Amino acid sequence: MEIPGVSNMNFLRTAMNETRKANGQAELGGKDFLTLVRERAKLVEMDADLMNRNLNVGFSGGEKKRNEIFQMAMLEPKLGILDETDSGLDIDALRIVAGGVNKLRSKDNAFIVVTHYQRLLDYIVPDVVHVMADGRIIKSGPKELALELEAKGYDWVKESTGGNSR
Amino acid sequence: MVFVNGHFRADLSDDLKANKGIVVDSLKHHLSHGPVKAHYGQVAPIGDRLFTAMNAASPTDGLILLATKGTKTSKPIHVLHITTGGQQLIQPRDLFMLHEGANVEVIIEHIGTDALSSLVNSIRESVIGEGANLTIHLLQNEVNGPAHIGLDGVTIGAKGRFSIDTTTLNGSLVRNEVNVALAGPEAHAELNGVYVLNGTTHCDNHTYIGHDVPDCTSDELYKGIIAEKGTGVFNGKVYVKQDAQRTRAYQSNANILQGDDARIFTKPELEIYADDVKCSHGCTIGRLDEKGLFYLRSRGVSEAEARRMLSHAFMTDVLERITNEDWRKHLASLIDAKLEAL
Repeated sequence: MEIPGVSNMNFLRTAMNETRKANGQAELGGKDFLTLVRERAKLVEMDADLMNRNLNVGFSGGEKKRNEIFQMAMLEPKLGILDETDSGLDIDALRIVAGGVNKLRSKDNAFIVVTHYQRLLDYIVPDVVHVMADGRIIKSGPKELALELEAKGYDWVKESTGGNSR
Repeated sequence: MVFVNGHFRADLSDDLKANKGIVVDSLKHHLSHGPVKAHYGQVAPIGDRLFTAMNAASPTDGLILLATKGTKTSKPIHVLHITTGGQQLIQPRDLFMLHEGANVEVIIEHIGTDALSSLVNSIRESVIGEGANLTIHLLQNEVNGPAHIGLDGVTIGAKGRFSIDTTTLNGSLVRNEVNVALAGPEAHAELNGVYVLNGTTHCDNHTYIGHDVPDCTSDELYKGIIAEKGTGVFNGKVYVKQDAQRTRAYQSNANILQGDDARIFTKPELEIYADDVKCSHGCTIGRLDEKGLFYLRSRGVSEAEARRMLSHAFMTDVLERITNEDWRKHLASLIDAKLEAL
């Protein structure tokens, strides 16, 4: 989604303050906001240039994803759903995006990371792995489950749980 | 400079001798002077236009601005027109003359109160000399204002430049006509407009750009949001004469309608008789982008705020053309306040 005419910064500040208002918190002033931006931008290695540009306008695929993670860092959701964040990212971008997620992880929030590949999970090490097939969770396990899947393929888990194979 | 109901008020105005080589005064004092006589009524001839004839018959008062060769306004000249009270006929008559290389920037602001049954019928003639540069920022913010019919007649000499941005936020019946003659080679005209209309405000932007000679350029961008029972009209015409080779002319009008009763009539026109030209024209009428609204709302922005952000964003490219940063910021904040009230 590209929105010309709305700068990244202006958008973030509005979104943040609207959320804070809804939660009964005081709005963040310009100076505090900028301090926070600088601090959080470091987490995802965002260039200052990207902040002042119009929202996602002319961003590359990697920049858009990085911007998403940056928005997450700013807006601090309790639950983050990262749907195939790894698609279309090169190794460096993947490392940066995953690094951002890792730095934001805390006991107060949770992330659902949706992926087809183990590779992302080398960077974001999950607490629990759920295998979803045909809209249902058919198997859950520790992080080792993902490695097992990578080695044996999806059919294995479908057969072992009696799920329908494709 | 302050004009109340069309009359110049020296007691409310600043010292007019701030810029050396630039005369700014009430037109009344200068009607018999040579340069005024030479141009008065020439750039905006009466023809068959009733309102021009009415104004020419009995102008109330007006502004004369004479910039001698190479002079420059150190800061914009701010003209404030206040209209108050009903049942009046007010006919401002301005004449701007810029000699070779002069550079003049003027802010013209119309405000009005309780003037619903009055008529303001204004004519402004601008003669822009060789290499001279005239920038007009026009703001119409007349709550319960008069009917306002205005005409800007402009003629631009070689390598001269004319730029006008017209912002209409409040008014009853507003009609802005801009007639530009690109009369010398490499002259350039830029016409920008923004309007945010609600209530029963009617705003008509009527432009004519005449490419009379070769190698001139013109660029026109009008954008607006119309809500409630507001009505917008855009009728822009670019006329390229047979001799006006290598003309480049761009014209665009884009509108967002909010609600079932808002209306826009738009007609961009090109009439071209030269064969080596690059011209484009177009118009759009639409709604705010639902996907954009969803994106903003999914990040916690409320619907009202998201609409306001996208509405403002819609007009950003017009505002970005305004080179005076202070004025641009001022307009942005006025537009934001207006959008918030919608």
